[in-house]
Amino acid sequence: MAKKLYLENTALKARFEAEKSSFTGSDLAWLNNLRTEAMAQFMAVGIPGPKVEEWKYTNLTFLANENFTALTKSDHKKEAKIYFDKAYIKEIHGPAVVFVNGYLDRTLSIFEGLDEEYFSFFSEQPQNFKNLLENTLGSTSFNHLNRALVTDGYRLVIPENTVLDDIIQIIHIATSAAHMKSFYTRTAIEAGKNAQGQIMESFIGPDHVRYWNHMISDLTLAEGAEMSYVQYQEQGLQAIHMTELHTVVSDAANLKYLTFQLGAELSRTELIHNFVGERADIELRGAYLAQSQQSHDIFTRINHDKPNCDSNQFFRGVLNGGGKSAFQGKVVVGRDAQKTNANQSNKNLLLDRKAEANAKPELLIYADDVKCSHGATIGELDIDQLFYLRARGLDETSAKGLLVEAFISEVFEGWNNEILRQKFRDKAANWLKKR
Amino acid sequence: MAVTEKTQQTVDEAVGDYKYGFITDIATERAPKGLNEDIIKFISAKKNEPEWLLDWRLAAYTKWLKMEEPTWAMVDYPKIDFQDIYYYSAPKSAEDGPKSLDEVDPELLRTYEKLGISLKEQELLAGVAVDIVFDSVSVATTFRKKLKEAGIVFCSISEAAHDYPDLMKKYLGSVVPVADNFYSALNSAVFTDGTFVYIPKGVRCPMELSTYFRINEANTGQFERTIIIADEGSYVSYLEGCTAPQRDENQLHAAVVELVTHDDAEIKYSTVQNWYPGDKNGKGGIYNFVTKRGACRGKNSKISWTQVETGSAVTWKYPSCLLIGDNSVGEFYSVAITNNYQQADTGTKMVHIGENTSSTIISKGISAGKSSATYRGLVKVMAGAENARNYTQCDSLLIGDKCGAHTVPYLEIKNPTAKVEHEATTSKISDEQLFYCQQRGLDIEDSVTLIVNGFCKDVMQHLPMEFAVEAQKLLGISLEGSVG
Repeated sequence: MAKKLYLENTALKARFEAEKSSFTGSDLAWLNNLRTEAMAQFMAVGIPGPKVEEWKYTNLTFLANENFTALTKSDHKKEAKIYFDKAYIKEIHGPAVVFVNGYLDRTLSIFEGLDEEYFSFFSEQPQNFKNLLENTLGSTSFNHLNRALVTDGYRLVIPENTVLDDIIQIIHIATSAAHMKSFYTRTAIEAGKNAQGQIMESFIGPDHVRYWNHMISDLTLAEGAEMSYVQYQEQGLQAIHMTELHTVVSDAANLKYLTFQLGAELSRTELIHNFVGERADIELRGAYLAQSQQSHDIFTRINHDKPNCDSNQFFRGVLNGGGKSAFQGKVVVGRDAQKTNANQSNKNLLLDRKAEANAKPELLIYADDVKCSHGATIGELDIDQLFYLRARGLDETSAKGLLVEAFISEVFEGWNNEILRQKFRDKAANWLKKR
Repeated sequence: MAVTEKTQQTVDEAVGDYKYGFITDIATERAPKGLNEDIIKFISAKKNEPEWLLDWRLAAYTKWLKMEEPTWAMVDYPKIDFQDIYYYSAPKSAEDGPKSLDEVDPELLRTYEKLGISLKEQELLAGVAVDIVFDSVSVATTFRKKLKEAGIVFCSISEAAHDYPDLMKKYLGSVVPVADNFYSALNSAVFTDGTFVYIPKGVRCPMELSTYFRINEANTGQFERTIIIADEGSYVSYLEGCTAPQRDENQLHAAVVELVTHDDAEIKYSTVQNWYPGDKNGKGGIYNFVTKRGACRGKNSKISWTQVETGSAVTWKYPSCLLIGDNSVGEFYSVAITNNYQQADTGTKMVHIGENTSSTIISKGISAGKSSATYRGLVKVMAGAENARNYTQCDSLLIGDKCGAHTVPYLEIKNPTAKVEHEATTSKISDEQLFYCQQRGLDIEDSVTLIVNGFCKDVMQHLPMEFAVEAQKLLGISLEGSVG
């Protein structure tokens, strides 16, 4: 008598049937087939229940009952512009690609300085996504769901030996029209041999609007490519935010990834990395701050299947007033992955009685000539440090804020862009005051 | 489950006048294969148990039927047919065993020799039909007398059910609930043997207790049940197992151990497990699925687990501490060695419930050959556990490139005053270390033993003297053939 581990949501199925004819690319047979098949796969698995190990710390039971519907086009220009101004970092000056409620918005986007032939969009050229969708890297139930209901997304192809100097800002905006809606975006970044690029992706939306956005990013780095990729999330406190990042890294490629989770009621960041070449190097950094009823869930899996690769993970979280976090990190070192260096560090600060932090840093090792370590700590602020600051005239909130800033800032230190570093530091410093 | 007619028949045959009470000779009997209510009634009747215990067993069985075998552990073994197992076999009569040491597997004898076990003991361990002239008989009798004087209860679980029903009723299943997991439910239904220890208030047990001395029940059962209760201010150190490899034809072992400490009491529980691990190709070997848990119920109480796991084909074992009383302390020191095709998924759970509770976890895993060793541990701090403190360190050593070492820690913290640290490393024996030792005249196997012993020192020093020396030798023997 198997206990049911996965939950069913028939509303999504009904929605799929109703929406079927109006999907992007509904005139393409391969896409229709793919969507139908993916929906069937999703329905066969269902929504992970609390007993599913990967979702141990984040209860999704509500998703089985709530009915998130598809978005109908509405006028949101003014509202979207406000959020755009908030999210766009002027100091960076670079181009920006803007998605509003899951669809590309050309009027808000800034294509200036951007070689448009590098970009294609699902809503405009779905055929460019054929290979990507057919050879999807993930197999989770939400990966199926995303493929079935995908609304829009971008594909960035950086050709061989091309260096993109500007940071490309990708801004995902939700407006109040998104209430009780869900949207599914799909992005792909392909860096050719020795190509270099920088992406800064941000997610923003209103408080008091409940929506569910799910994004899958596939990141492919060819030989010698170098990418830096930032995901910054400051959505409203009722949003459900899920991202799934799959990376495939070839010989001597280098990836730097940074995630900063600040908003949303529930955020889930899945980072799945595969080494397909040797001497490659990846670095994952993450910070998460949770207040009141927020919960952040970070899930990483790094598959070392090739020798001589390095991976470093550095995650820090601060939980206040009923905030909750989970860090589930897994490093798998395969038989052939000799001379692997893999480090994993997760530190958490609990500021409040109701806060909760969970950590599960896993190592699975099958090769013997490797250096692997992980460390995890959970604790509160040092009372002596707090006293020191209070004695110098800072009020409690400021003193705490300063310590939180110092604690979190270690994540941003060493990041290659000073403007982003400073912005994130400020966000961390003001976090306690603001809410 | 419907009782098949056939089973009923077999039971009747085996038991004779079953319905009217047992009068048959129990010495040579064995229940038929399989598990159903009749078998449980049979076991209970064999043990001449009071009715409440039979009811308890049957309730456990009903629960077990509804449960599923756990599959989350990182171990891989063929599916067990629970209807193809003997759940009761009386201690075997002497005639069944080998007649002399000549008939015993020479491999086994060599190991005994290396451990420095006397010839008499060798015979006993190998199950040779020896005349009962054995040093420890007299020793044991003296020991038991001494314990009785101190008011300590130290007897088999069946005896306890008769002589101390109140204690049994109070504590049986109080730490490990019947339906805690699949194997604890199975054990609750069919346990056949085990030890019951009660240390009265303020008594410091004058010696290390060990099943080894309880020779009237020398055959460790496959479904053991151990209960140790340390009342206020008492102390006891309990040794389980034996460094010498034990042959056992029962493939499935599912023991349950429950420890309870009251105010200011302390239990130190040491295990050396060295059951048959299967041959070099991974054939045979014991499946060891154990549920061990201690509850620090009283203030300032302490439970300390120390284990050296070298045997069994598959080990699935998480000695845990529930730190309920304020200021209570939980400790877990473990060495797990796997070689050839052995698999061990072992670790601990520390649940901090009371204030100022602290726990320490030191786990050393060594994998060689094609084996895999997993540390799986949980540190949980409940919201009310002010100032809880935990330190965890797990180190893995890999010998050879075909083995696996895994670390799966869980940290679940709901109180901001908690301080929880977890550290883990994985490495191999470096060529430099080996070279250094060999250059000084040690052969390669001795070098490995030396290095491994150094690696495990933090844990080994927590073993009682009796075990420590032998356990060190054991480390070397377990790793034989893994290098060079």
